Formats: sequence, C-alpha cells, structure tokens
Amino acid sequence: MSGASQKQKFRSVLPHEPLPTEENGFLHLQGGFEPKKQQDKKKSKDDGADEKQNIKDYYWKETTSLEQALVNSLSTQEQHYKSLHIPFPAQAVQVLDPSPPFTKIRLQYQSPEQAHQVMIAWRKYKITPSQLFSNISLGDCDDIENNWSSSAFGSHATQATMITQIPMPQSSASAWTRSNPPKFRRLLHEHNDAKERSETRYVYITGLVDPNVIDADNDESNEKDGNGSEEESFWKQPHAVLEAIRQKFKGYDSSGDGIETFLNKKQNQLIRSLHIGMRSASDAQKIVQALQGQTVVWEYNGQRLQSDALFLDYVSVTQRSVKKSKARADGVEPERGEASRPDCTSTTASIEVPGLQVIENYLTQAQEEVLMAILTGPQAPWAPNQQNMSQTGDVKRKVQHYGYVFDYKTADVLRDRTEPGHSDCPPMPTMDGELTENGLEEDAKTGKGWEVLAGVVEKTRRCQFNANKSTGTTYPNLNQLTINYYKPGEGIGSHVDTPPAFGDGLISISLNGGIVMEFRKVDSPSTKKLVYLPPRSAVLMSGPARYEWEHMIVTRRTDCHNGQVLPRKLRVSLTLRTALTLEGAPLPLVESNKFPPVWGSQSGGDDQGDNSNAITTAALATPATERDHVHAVYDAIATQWHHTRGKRGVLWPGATQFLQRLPRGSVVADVGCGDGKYFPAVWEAGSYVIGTDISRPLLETAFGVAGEHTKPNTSEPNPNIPETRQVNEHREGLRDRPAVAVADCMHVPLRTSSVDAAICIAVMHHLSTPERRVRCIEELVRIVQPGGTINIQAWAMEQEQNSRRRFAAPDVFVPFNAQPKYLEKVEWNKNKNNTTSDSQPPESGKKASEEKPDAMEEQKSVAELYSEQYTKADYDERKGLVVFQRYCHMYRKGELEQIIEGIGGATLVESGYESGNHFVIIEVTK
Amino acid sequence: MRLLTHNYLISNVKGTKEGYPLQIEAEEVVIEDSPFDQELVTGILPKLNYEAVIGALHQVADKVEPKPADIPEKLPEGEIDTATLEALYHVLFNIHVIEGHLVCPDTGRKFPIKQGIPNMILHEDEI
Repeated sequence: MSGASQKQKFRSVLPHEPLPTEENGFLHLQGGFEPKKQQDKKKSKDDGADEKQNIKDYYWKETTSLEQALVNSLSTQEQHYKSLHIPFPAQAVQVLDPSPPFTKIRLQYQSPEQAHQVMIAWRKYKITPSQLFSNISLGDCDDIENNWSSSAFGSHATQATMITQIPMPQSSASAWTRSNPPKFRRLLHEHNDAKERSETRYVYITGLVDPNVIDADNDESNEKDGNGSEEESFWKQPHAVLEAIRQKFKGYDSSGDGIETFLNKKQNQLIRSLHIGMRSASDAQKIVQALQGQTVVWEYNGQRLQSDALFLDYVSVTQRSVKKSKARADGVEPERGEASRPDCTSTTASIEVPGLQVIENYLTQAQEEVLMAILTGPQAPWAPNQQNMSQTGDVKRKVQHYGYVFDYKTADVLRDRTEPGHSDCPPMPTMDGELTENGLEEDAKTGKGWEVLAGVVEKTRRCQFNANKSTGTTYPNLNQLTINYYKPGEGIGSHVDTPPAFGDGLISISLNGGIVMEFRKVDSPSTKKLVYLPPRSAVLMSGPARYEWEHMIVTRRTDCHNGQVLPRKLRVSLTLRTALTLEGAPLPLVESNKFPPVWGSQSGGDDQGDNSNAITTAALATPATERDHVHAVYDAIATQWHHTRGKRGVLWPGATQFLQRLPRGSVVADVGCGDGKYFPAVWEAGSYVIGTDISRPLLETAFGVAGEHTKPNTSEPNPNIPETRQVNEHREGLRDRPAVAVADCMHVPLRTSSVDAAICIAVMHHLSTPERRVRCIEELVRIVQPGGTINIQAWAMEQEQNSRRRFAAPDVFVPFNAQPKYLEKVEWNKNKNNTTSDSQPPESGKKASEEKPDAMEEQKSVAELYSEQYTKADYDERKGLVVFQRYCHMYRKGELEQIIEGIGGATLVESGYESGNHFVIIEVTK
Repeated sequence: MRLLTHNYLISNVKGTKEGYPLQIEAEEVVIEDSPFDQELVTGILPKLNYEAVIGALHQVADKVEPKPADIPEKLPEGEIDTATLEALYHVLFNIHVIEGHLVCPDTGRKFPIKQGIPNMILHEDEI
C-alpha cells in the first residue's frame, strides 16, 4: 500500500474543469482487477473464501509482481501501451487498494495535460483489465503462472478519473460536484431541521476499515461459528459502528451538532465506503484535506481498528434528492418528470453529429421577447385536439402548427387543408415589406410580434447554413412551422422526423429557455451526443443528423451543460420544416399577412361585415379570454385589489380634474368602476355617481367601509385614509351606500342620454376584440346626454422609461400576484390555523359553498388546492403566491382616437398620455 | 339601491323597447337618514324621469317605515320650496332597496337585488 504513506490531497477533475497547473498529472483507475470467479471455482470448494483471499493477496500484495508488471506495461513497454492507444507512458504506478471491485490504481504522468490525454484514451477505447494484462510477463511468479492468463481478469472497462492535488478548482463550495449522488439511508437519531440540512456538505470516504483487519477477524470467528460472513456480524449493530465513526471525526465538527453518517444500502459494503455529512462547507473541506491518504485508528466495541489509507471526496446531493425527500416529508409523492442527475454535455464533447449546426444568438433579445409575448399571450392560437403518437390522447405539451398540420396519429403531414378543425391550421405568417435586420429589430421593439415571426421565417429561408462541411446551404422552401411549448420538465421522445413527410433541413429555434437535446445514432444507439441549445439559438439538422440520428429532449427539470446544472425554464421552440407531397416535392406555400393567425377557414380575415356599425351578437358575448383572464381574475382577487390599490386611493390626476370640472349636481356614470376608487372624487365635486362593473366581488368591496374611515370608537377621521378617499361628513351616506350595479359594459343598464358625464377608466384595455372596444364607447356615448362629456383612459403600449411595466406586444397577459390570505375560495385554509379570528361568516352563497374540506382535501398540497379552485392561475411555490394572468390590450398612440373617429355622435375634445395611459375626452354631439 | 339610482336603470334584454321604468319588487327596504344636500338635489331633479320616481315610491311604499313626507305628484315648475326639496331628497337618497327584484316592463325579466346591489347582467340568450 504505497499510497498510505502519501500525503497528497487528491480530488477528481470533472471534464468541464480547467486542467490543473501542478507539475504531475494523476490518473485514478477503478475496477475489478481480480481474477474471474470461474477461476476460483476450479479450486477446491471446501475453503473457497480463504483461497480467494489468498489469491488476491498473492496477486497484489505478497508479490509485487503484478504491480511491477503494470508499471512495466504502462511505462516502459512502449509497444504494449501504444497498442492500447495510450499515448504516454506512466511515470509511476501505485496500487492503492487491491480489493475488488474497488481496486484503485494510481498512475502518475509527467503533466496534467498528459494525464488528461491518457484519460481520454482510457475512456474512448474502454480499456479493460484483461487488455492491460494481455501482454505482460510475470517474471518469477511461477506459482501462479500456470493458472494465470489475461482472460482471467475482468473484461469490464476500467473507470479512469483524472485527479489533481488541488483540493478545489476554485474556493467556492458550489463547485463541488461528483458524478453520483449518494444513495443512502440516514442513521442519525436527532432530526436536524431543513436549514441545517441545506448547509450540510457530504463527504465520501473509503478505506475506513483495513480489509485485512476484518479479514483477520473473519478467520478467527470462522473457527467459532463456522458459517456466515463475519463482515456482516461486524456490522450487526450499525448504529454503534456509526456512532464510533462519529466519535472519531468529532474533532472536525465545528458546529457542535454532530456529524451525520450514512449507511450504504448494501450493508456489507459499508466497510468499503461511507458517506458522512458535515455541517458546513468549511468543515467538509477541512476533513478532506486533513485526512486524505492518512490512516486513522478508531475504536469500536473495545477493539482498536486500523484504517487503510483513506480516500475522501466531496459529494453533491442532487436537486432531485433534496426535493424528493422534502416532498416525502410532506407526504406527497415526488413530482413526475424528475430524472436522475443529468449527464453533462461535456461527457459527449468528442462525439460529432454530421449535419448538425447550432447558431447561437440567431435572434436578438428584443425579437425573442416579442415572440414570447405573442406565442404565450392571449392571441396564441393553440391547436385543438392534437393526437399524440401513441394515439392515447392529446400531446401533453402545447403544440401549434402553421401551414400544414402534422398529425401525430399517423406521423404524417395532412396535405389536404380542408378538413375543418383538424387540418385547416393557420397559414404561415408572411411579411409585407422587405426583410432587413434593422426592420426586424424595429418591429420587435415596437411590439409587432407577428411581423417579427414572419420575418424570422423569411430570414431562416434565406439563411446560409454550413453544417457538414458543405457551405452556404439554404432551405428556401420551408413551408411548415411547428411551435412547441415545453414547460420545465416536459420533453419529447426520441424520434427521427418522418422522412416522407418532411424534406432535409429541420431548423429549430429556441426561445426563452435553453435545453440539452440528446442525439442517438439510429444504428448504434449507445452512441450519443448531448447538445446544449441556448435560448435565441437555431439548430439545423441536415443530412445524417436529420436522417441517421434520433433526437429527443429528456423529461426532467434540469440540464447539465459544461458542469453547470441549469434548471429548465419554459421553452418555446419554433421548428421550421419543408412539408412534402407524396411525390417528395415541397407542398405549396400557404401564407397570409393577416394577424393574428387563427384556426379555421375564416383565417383570411373579416370578409363579411365590413360595416363597422353592425356589431354581431357574437361579439357581444363574453369571449373566453375575457371570462377566464379578466372576469374570473377580478372576482378572485377583488379583496386584495381593493386592499392594496383602491385603499391607497391613487387616482389619475387627469380623471380627477375631469370630474372636478363638471357642474355641481351632475350625475356621472362610472362604467367599469371596480371598487369605486373615483367615487369620492365625484362626491366631493358635488355630483352623484352610478358605478357599474361586471365583477360583483369588486363592487362589494366598495361597500362595508363605514368603520374604516374613523378611528375606532371615535368620530375623528382615520389618518390612514388617503385624502382622495375622504369625503365630507355630510356625504358619508353616499359613501356608505354607493350606487352600483353589476353590469357588462357591452350593455350598460342606464337610460339613453340620461347622465351628464361618463368615465371609463382602465376598462377598455381588458376588451379583447376591436368590435368590443367600439361597442363599449358606443354605449358610453348612448347613455350620456348631448353636450355631456366622456373620459376614457386605457393602458398604453408606450410605457415611460422608468416604469416597471414594459409590454413586448399589444396583446399580453399581465400577471397579478395574489396573496393566498386574500383569496376567498381557500377561506377554510386561513381559518384552520386561526379559528378565533374575527372572520365573519361567509356572506354570499359562493363563499359558503366552499366551506369545509373533507379529510382528503386536508392532505392536498397548497398548490393543488389553488390549482383546483383557480384553474387558470399558477401557484408560485417559491413565493407562495397565486399568479393570475390578466388579459390586456395595450393601446398604441392614436388608437383610441381612431376608434372614436368611426363612432357617430361623438367628437374628440382632448387626448393625451398620463402615467402610462392614453386618455381621450369626448363630447357627445348626437 | 336608492330610488335615485333606480331612476337611471334600464333593462337591456333583447326584445325590449325601452326597458324602462323597471318595476320594483322589494323584499327589504331600509331608511337611512343623511344630511340634506340642497345643491345636489336641485341639480339632479330636472334630469329625472319624475313619473318613474312616483311609480317607484308607490312600489316600495308598504315597506317604508316611517312613512315619508308627501312629495308632489308632478315636479313643480320654477323654484321649489325647501320643505318639498327635503321631502324629495329623502325619497331619492334615503330609501334603499336592499333585497328584491327589478322587473323589466317589456319582457318580465327579473333582475335580482342582493345586499343593495342590482345584478343587471344578461344571459347569453338575452343579448
């Protein structure tokens, strides 16, 4: 055991790490350097164990011949190591641990670069012990020569790890990674809380027990009981053994909380390796540095045990195991789609896939942003009822096609575009003008997402690709676009795109999130290549990459690229392909410059009904977008909305001035009044206001504020009420019972020409079609008497420089982060922990119906509970917030004015921009 | 819902001619006195459909306790004396329909009033 005396501090180098700078390089071989078992069986069966032991000793210990033979073959016998493709000789060979299958052999090379080259060769040619021993002379080893042959040794490839004397590539503890997470059972009685656990650093130790010591023990006890492995009996009380180990290393624990020790699943291998958990990174570092290569003596059961030369290495626990153990502790089954630790792209760096080309930064950030906005926004035309390849139902991820539908059932293109709802997908977006990079960028920055998409398609048709040594290849016939929406964790099975359906040249553009794509050679599936596709990149699969390699995205939540574990984000991919006729020619291009693209034969635009006055009944019915992403959202968040916004009483000064300019004694309609934030301004201007809104919960918040305005038990005004919400004492009656009605702004329930003025603040931007925007203003004009005025404000596409809001496209979802404590539908959840609170009994029937959960529901995770109650919302587990998506249409400068031009009986008086909003004031002239 | 508010509300159900005035079927009515605001009531009165005020008052009369001071059957022309204005203010501002229905005169469609808030939302087949 020459290694025992060494004091070097070794650590393995991962493929992505920089090469170390120290003088020598070391390779660490691990594997089954032992004669095959069959060899043993030829021996007498009576004393098999002893015999085996003897042989092992004989090979590695009692004679140094084998070690010497290795030295010779790897360092001096040039012919031999060259024949194994090993480029450099080893300077020294040391057998650190002869015990198979943990045999460890350390090879020293002249420089780390040499060691690195050699390691690559070991891995590439999968060198096995039998190859190593195939051509060596055992010299004087007569005794075993007869039994010995190279084939007696294992033929499994030997694992080569490059090791360095530098303990860490950089000091940061985050750089600790080893290839395998420990699979272990904890053996610590005291529970440490999650925080402690998150700071725990794991260390892997081998050699704690000198096998000879145990073996000696073995022989003795064999005489006593005659059967059973004594190794096992030694570990019969694992807790006691582990406690002894904890005692031994106590000195390295600076926290005083104790060291964690972990029992390997295979108990009888505990002797070989053990994981311990140190309470901090510095403790772990200390113990590794101090004990590397050392021997220690420890006591168990009155025995003094001598260790072998210790080998210590850092271990990182994967995200998955932490997450899973956390999930289990919560009584929840671990999330699906959690895969084992991902392979790093660097492990396949040497593999080449001909015909594959990745172009980084194919799109600019602005282009990516605007594309994400339209493709994840309210106008994204997700395809109905896609079938997946296994014909069991919908494709799990969201998919949409343009040009031609790819049918997952038949794995073919639907060449006939006429079948309603099935093959009549939207046409390819096409450009109006000329394609220029500047024009594309300008469109991106001004939110013209569909124009950008059309531009990107055209740009890709013209792009000159250089894959597979052929230069300047273009794919001018791209006529099919598939948009895939991969949530983190979602993937796609291994496949070659149907050859007769699509021509050569598949181009896939990644948006928002990067991903590692796995390629496997069809005729040699073990040949695999991992390719990282960063966001904004384009990847081309052509020639062999397209026809001879399958590609897939593994279903998991993280990828590993150049040693960094990258959590996956939402990824939207644009895949451009050339759909072919049955004869193999490109199908005709189906394209349109009408945006947004829609499913169904009406895609082409509004041919019927050019008369803008004729608003169809269909336009008046609430579209699903508004129902799910406006009405349902405000109903759910009403309490919080009022609490965090309305109560602050922040009014647009322009709207307040408009109200103040009205003659006293006016009647004002506030269409879409919400929680009645502008009511006090109307009352203080000496007028009366009737508010309408579609959200009853929001209207309810306008009530029940009586107590809020005075200090408790006094009549003094509450100083916390903002000035804009305070009303003169004699108007308190108005405040306590404001005039409101639940109504849709498509049908305002007020008499024609009845009110003196109307305001419509922050309402129009929630209307999802041009017809509805027209209708809303027509209703306002209808109810206001001639000579009266209307003030409309709506969100602007153009936001100020310092605004925290920025909109990538005119039609977007704007998230609203709801705090669960405000959400009515999980009322019981609040009260569970707080039964004595002043929670009033639920008033409306809606709340009462969700009262008590049954026992099953009690066990549901919070996230599940919310997602059941609020189907269109997401639960942000990290922040503990329910995230609602509000549909918004951002008005461009001049857009409101343009609508008003088309409306009779109204004249534009004033228009402008205020705090991120466009506003118009209209006079009714009918 | 004040009687003042009621004076402005209409039914928009498909097939209505005017949808006005809505008939009140009151189940619960409360009277809440509030300070008389002469300026406000004077400004509003000329814009009201006075007939509808009288009609509404009749419809809720049996639920109004104590009985309000009489108001004129027709809106007086010219300047109105303070006592009449106070009586009108009381009727328009202090009588609240809390529970009940508003009934469309053309179609008979009933719009519920709950907790003082009328629900004028139309069903999909009414638009």
